[in-house]
Amino acid sequence: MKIEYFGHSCFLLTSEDGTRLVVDPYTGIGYEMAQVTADFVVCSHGHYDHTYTEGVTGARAVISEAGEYKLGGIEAIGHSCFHDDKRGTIRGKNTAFVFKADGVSVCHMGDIGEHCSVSFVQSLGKVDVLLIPVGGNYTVDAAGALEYMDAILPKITIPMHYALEGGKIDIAPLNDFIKQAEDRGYKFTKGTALDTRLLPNECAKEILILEKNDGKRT
Amino acid sequence: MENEREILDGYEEAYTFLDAKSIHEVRNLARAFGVKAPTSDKKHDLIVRLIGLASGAIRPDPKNNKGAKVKAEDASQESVEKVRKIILQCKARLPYRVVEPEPKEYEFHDSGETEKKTYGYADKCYAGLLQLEEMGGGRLRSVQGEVSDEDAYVPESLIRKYYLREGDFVSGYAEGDAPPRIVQIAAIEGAMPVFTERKKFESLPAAYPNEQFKLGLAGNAVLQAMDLLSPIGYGQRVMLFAPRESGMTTFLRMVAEAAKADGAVPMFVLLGQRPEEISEIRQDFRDSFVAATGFDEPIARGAYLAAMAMQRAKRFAERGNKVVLLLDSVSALERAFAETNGAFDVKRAEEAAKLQVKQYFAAARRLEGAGSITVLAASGEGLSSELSSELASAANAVMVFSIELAARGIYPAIDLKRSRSKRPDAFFTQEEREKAMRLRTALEEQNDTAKFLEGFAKAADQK
Repeated sequence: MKIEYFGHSCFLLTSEDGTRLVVDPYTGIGYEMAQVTADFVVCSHGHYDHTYTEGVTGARAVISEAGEYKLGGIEAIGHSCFHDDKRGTIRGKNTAFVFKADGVSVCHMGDIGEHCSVSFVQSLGKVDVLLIPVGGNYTVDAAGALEYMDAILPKITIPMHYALEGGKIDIAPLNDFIKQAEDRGYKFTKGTALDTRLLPNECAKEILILEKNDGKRT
Repeated sequence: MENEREILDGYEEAYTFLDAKSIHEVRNLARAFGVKAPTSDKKHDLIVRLIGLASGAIRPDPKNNKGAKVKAEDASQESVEKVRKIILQCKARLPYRVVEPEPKEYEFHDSGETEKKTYGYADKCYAGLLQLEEMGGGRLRSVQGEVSDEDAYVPESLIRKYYLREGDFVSGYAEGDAPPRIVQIAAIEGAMPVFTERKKFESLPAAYPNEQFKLGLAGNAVLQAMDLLSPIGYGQRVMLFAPRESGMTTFLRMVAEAAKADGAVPMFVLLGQRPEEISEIRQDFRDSFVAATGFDEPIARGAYLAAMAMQRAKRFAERGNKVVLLLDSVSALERAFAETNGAFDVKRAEEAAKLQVKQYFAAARRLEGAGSITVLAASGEGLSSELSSELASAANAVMVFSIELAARGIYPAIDLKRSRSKRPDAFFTQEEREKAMRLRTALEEQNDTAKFLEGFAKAADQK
């Protein structure tokens, strides 16, 4: 599977059989996402910065509820969780999706806000690639994200939902996350896309910072 | 003869033409083309040499003035011309051969440079543990232990170029089928490949353990007592004598937890285990290498996996990691090695297997200037078996488990009185040494180990 970052919480997953799936397309956060073509759109929750389906062309279906789905060559399982640490009383519900294809599982945490709990982490099952918000304020912050990473033990983690250049919503940039992760022994790499076939065999405490795809690359 | 294959392939026409002639005619023709001593060769060799000389594929023999003067050439000018013509025709039709000259100097590559073609998502990509082959090159084997002839092949040139070693987890782009051939290394252990030579396990000097591996880090009272009575260090060889149902799996899990808490790398080699236990360990220790076979799987698979795990442990130790290898059990490992050594001579296969297990166990050490490998090897048979007693003498720490303690609900059921370790004081400060002394006296006074541990746990709680 190929994983590309389109900014904010938006990722494009392409399985080896060619199924294209976009998670959390956004608008109105100061910068706009590049127009992208995909077969399916998955939204973690109903906020404007996660549901801009108009930004995606060619989508056959939009998934936004917890449950199990077969989306072309990708299997998706949505796990219900909360957008805040007060059992959803402030910001409502959120769905963390686990995508399985080509023998790897990728977990997109959406705008998860609840604290890490053993039962929730166990329900996710094996996770090879973790896409997790680190910007805080509306979601878990750097420390909260690291708690999840230490519990889930993915082979690689890709941070999301942090302040990028031109952004105008109130979330933290990556600096704090990088500092805290380094203190805990995580290593960093930068890249333009992730080919899941190149993952290590065990959790290597690695964080990949993906460059935002502005639509110039295909 | 040099180039014989090439000559037979390329000059088939000339060969059949000459082969149809009698040996005398061939001899005469051969002499005409400059073949020395044509009477001492067989017809086939003569023809090959003739064609070789005429086409330039074989260098002519040096001039030799010794011996009798050669007889007059009996071959007619006509037939010589005819043979020459056929050979030249064949030569003209030869496919153009790309001759790769040996590189005169070593080529240096830095990471910015890539191979001619850049491979990517559209190309086939294989990942696995590298296993070297005797004939050079290697294969990417599955982490589950299945070995197949279809496993991707890694050519020797790539292995040298990237300094790959056995047990590395390698991903590479491949071309071709059955088996696919790796043409570009994409990642090593999930990271960009680098062209630097690593330290080598075998060439690093072994040293005494100098850092204590505190088993009690996870908070278990028995293990905390162990840390004082018979402490073990990183790089130690530990034999565990554990009868059935004395809680070995639980103990190994505790040790792995303790290792993780201390920043060490636990690795599991579990042979012939219950499948559900294996999946549980895989689930709980997702960041560890788990080489495991269920009792329903072929025994030979275990031999390959165990060897791979040790290679992997060496790779981690070279990089400076503290590896804690947990082996359950030595008898299963011996059986697995004996099975792969072949059924030709059972006795010899068993002897060889015993030696292999010993070598396996002996790999535990602390490396001067790098990491360490600590091996905790479980034996279910007690000291009675020959292998176990031999291993016990090679071990520098022994832990004995007791069913009686397990029955009384004490986990892990380590019999503190019968367990020992070499140079127990090496890791201690003065204060700890005194504490250990007090504890040992208390243990000797108290006959009942269970009661002693209860008292110890209480004292630990009060602190």
